[in-house]
Amino acid sequence: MNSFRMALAWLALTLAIYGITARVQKRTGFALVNPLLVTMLVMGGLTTVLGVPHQTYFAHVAILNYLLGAAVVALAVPLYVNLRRLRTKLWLSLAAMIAASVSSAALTLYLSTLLDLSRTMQLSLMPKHSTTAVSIEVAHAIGGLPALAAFLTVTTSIVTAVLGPWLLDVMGIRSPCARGLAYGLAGHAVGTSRAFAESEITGCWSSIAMTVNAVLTALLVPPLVAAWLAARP
Amino acid sequence: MAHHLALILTCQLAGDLTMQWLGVAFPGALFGMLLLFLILCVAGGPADGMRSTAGGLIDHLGLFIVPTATAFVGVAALLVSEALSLAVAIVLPTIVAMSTVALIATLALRREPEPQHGNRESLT
Repeated sequence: MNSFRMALAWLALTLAIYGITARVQKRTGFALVNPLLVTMLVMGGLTTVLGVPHQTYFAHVAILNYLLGAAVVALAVPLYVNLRRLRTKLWLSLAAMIAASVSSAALTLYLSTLLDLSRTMQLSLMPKHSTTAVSIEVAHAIGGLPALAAFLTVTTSIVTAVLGPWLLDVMGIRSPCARGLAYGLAGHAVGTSRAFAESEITGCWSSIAMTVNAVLTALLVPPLVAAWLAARP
Repeated sequence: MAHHLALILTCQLAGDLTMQWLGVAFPGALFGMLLLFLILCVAGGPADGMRSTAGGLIDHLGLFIVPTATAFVGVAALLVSEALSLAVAIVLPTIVAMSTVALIATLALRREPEPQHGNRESLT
C-alpha cells in the first residue's frame, strides 16, 4: 500500500475507535470508557504490536493534530455564553479558582519531589489540571514531555470524575456552583461532562472553571516551576 | 460556517505570532482564545454559525489530541514502574484542588442566595 492509502487506513481506524467509544460512553456514562483514553491505548498498542514507529503513525493522522489549536480558540464561545449566563459571583469564584490552582500545583511539586519522581515526570505532571490541549503546550514549555503530560492529564480528568462525586458528597457540598467549579477546575473535560450529568447549571460552572484554569495554569505554572528550580536546583 | 472558521484560525495565528513576538512561554492558541473572547464581547455575542462551528470543534477536542497522546507508548514502561508514586501525586492534589475551590465558593455563596436557574433569554 502506498503512503496515502496507509494514511487513510490509519485515519479511518482511529476515527472508528474514537467514534465507537464515544457512543458507548454516551450510553453507559462510565468515565473510564473515555474516547481519548481508549483510542490512545488501542492505537498505541496496535502500532507497537505491528512495529510501526510513533512518528510514522503521527504523520499518517497529523490532519487531526492541525485542528487542535483551533479547538482551543473555540473555547472562547462557551466561555462567553456561560459567563453571560452566570454573571453573579464571578470575582469570588475567580479568587477561589486561583487559590485552588496554586495550592494543587504547589502540592504536586512538593509530592513529586518527596516521591523522588524524575525531573521529566515531575514537570510533565505540573499542568495536569488544565485541559489536555493546553497541558501539552505548558509541559513542553517548562521542559516536560508532551506525551507524558497528555497521559497524566487524561488520567487526572478521569480520577476527578470518578472520585469527585464521592468527595463532594462527603464534604457536604450541595451548591451547583461550588460543585461545578470543582469538577471543571480539577477535571477539565471529563470532569465537565460529569458535571453536566448532575445538572445543566453545574455543567456551565464547570465549563467556566475548565477554561479559566487552562489560562491560570499557563500563567501560573511556568513561574512557579522556575522559582522552585531556582530555589533547589 | 467557513468565515467563522476563518475568524477562529485568524485568532489562532494572531495569538501564535504575538506570543512568538513577545517571546513568552504562553500557548499561542490560548492567547487566540482570549482574543476571540474579546471579539465576542465587542460584537455582543457569537452568531449562530459561530456557535455551531465552535461547538463542532470542541466536541472533537479529544480526537485532535490522539496523534500526540499516542506517543505515550514510548514511555509506557516508565509509567508502569512509577505507577504508585504517580497515583499519589495525582489523587492528593486533585482532592486539594476540588475541596479548596468548593469550600471557598460555598462560604462565599452562603451570604447571598444563588440563582438556581440561568436566564435562558440572555443566551440568544
